[in-house]
Amino acid sequence: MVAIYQRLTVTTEQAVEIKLILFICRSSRKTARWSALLLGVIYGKQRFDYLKPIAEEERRVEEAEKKAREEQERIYKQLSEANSDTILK
Amino acid sequence: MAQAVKKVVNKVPALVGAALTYSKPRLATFWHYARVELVPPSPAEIPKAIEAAKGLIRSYQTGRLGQTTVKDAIRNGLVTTEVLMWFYIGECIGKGGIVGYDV
Repeated sequence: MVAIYQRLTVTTEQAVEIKLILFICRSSRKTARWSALLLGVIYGKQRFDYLKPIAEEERRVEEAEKKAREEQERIYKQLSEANSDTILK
Repeated sequence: MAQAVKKVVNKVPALVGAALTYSKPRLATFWHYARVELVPPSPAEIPKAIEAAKGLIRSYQTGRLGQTTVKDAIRNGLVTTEVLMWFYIGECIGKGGIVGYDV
């Protein structure tokens, strides 16, 4: 009888360990949630600050290229108009 | 057309009532759990959480983690997924938008 009782019970240490394994502890869940939230805010802010100047640079480069392209088109248009301008029209 | 619109308009109060009847007990359940689970941890709870994390590492090292039942593993997996989702909510707050980075 005593042997069966001994087989069926766990020691206190084993019980504590099982409880810790099972992630039942509410305080650990709450801490994990709020830590994840805080880490996410920090990550999002840092990534935003990293990407912002890159995006601005890209916009600036695009703007300059667009200006150059439009200038080229304007010159081409003027030249083609000048070439097509004859007294035979 | 006008009759169809009138029918819909007449049904709206009943629909709103049905929605309220459906949602009230569920909102009560949600509030019951949110009141305890979603509040920030008090300073006394943080050492307990650290202790639980150490216990998790210890159980992994001793091999006890492999003796978790499937039911417990699924439950812990769901809890872990929920905690990870909070990271993405934090990222949305940090970047100041929901979809993409508004740079």
